[in-house]
Amino acid sequence: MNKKKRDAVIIILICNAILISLLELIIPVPIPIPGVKLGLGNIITIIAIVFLDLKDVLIIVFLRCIVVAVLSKGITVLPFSLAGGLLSALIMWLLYKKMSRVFSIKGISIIGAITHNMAQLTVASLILRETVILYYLPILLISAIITGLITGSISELTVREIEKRGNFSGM
Amino acid sequence: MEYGEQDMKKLFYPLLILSLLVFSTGCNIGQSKPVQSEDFALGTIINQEVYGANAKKASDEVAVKIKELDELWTINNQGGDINKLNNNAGQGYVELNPETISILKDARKIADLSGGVAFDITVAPLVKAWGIGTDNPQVPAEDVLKKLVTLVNYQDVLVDEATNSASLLKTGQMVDLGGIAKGYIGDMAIEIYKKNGITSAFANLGGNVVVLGNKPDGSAWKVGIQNPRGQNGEIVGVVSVADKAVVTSGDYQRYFIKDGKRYCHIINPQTGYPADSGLMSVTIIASSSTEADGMSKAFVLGLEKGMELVKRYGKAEAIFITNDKKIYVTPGLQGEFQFEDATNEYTYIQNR
Amino acid sequence: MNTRIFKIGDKILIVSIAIIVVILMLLKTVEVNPDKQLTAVIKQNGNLIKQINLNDLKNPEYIHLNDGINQVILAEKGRIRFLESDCPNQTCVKTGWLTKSGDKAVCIPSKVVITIAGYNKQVDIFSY
Repeated sequence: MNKKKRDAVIIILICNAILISLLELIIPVPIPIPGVKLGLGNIITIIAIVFLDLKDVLIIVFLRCIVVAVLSKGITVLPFSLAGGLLSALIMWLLYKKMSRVFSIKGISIIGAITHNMAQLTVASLILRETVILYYLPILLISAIITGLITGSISELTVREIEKRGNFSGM
Repeated sequence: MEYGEQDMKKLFYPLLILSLLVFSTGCNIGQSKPVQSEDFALGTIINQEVYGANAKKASDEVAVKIKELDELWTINNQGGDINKLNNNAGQGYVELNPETISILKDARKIADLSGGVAFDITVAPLVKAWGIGTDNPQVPAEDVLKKLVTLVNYQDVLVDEATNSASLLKTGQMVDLGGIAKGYIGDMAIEIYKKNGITSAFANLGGNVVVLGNKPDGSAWKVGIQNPRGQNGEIVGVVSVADKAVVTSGDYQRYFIKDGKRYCHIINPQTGYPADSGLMSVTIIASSSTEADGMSKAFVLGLEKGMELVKRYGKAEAIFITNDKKIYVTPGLQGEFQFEDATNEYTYIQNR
Repeated sequence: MNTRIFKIGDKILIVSIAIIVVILMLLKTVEVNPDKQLTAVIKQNGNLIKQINLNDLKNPEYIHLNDGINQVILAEKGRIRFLESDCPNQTCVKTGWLTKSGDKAVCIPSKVVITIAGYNKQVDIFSY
């Protein structure tokens, strides 16, 4: 176990997560629902889940959310990103560890996207003091399949490539 | 790749949980349909909405009962109990339906709360003289009213429970249950619902609302309070209630305008004139619909004395709307009252 | 690991979500009652700001909100929308027109929600 290499990998993943999330802001989302987005940051989360511990995964997501909130959308959206990001990371980690024989990374990513959007809408409902979850549920589920498949496929390819090259081995 | 039975088993629970999660949010739309009914009785529209297995039976039972009592109590119905009582005024006891005896007793109890200054069922001779709500309302001469006011005294309604009979002490005295019948029937409807195992329902007796339990989804019933100067259905606020009666008395319900003056159907038993107390409406929220109906006649007392009466009664919350479009709400109701005035004409006076 | 392969869980997941979506959509269309009065309810922070009867509206009405974030809401006969907003992501403006009972536009930064309610949606019973 090489702790230094591990720390380096974590830092690289955090930087990548931030960059990729900022990059995503340029891509327009056709669906006007609060909180719904492509979720490219999810790719990094999944890579972290495959190669690192839960604690490291959560740190990566946490720091990504904070930095992105400060740099782009302002601190008001932080509760949304944190709720969505951390909860979906936790669920995806559980699924990957316990259920990876039934779910591929694509399936796990879809469930992660659903969790992410649901959590965001729950926080939105609390802030708005009005239930908006049910109203958005159908479109939210469909967009979760699409975004989940996209990020899931990219993650799968990346994970396979990393495994093939052995980049993260020996941590 | 091959998938063993074990994998399927592993898959089962997460999917089950996922679908439960989704459906628990989705289910609310698929509520069981209520039985809704609309009847004409008591000179008004009766709406019911009843949920549950016996809903149809319960609402039919209520409708039948209302028609029955309507016949007994309508003042102009020949052979009805109230007609009999009035015709025999000053001539001793007449035997009446036990239900009539019961409402007369309730009327006495409520009148006692205000000493008859707000609510008094013997106001009927005055109601008849004014004729408000009939085809030819009129402003009676002052000396006529003076004479009629002397006939108004709820203590002259004598009730003998042992023989199920009642009498009016003086000739010319008359009883009108208009100010309490809808309230009483509201309580009765709730009893019938309960007897049929219903846990969620409402009945709207021409604006006198009674609700049983919560809505089937567990939330409180939202009762809109009529804007006294708006169109029908235009509201100034909403109260959220469960197991309560919501009764409104207002000057807009029945009235006529003569020489630019508005005369409403609620007669002040003390003066003989239609109430003119600076209020447009009083809404009472209480567990007993009979008592709420009676208490809503605090309308004739005006804001200060009316509020005092509600406070003295102690078992009700109230909404008072004054002529200058201010809305006053008792402290206990402020959490459940939501001020919603689309016209922007009303002011909600919260600190009182 | 082959990226083109879906595992059995993935397939079941996608199919069941599709079924759920179809059911939800069906329920939603059943709920819509076209001849109801359309009332737009504008709420901020859970408090009612304004209620507009969209059927009766003759001239377009502009509602200016300024609670930290400047916003303009435009109501016309039968429809309402966020016209302008100073919020960062413009989700509310992109939502476009709301035209039927149940439609909703949300702005999280300003905590404003516009909902179109059938006239009776707000209230179960009237006391008059």
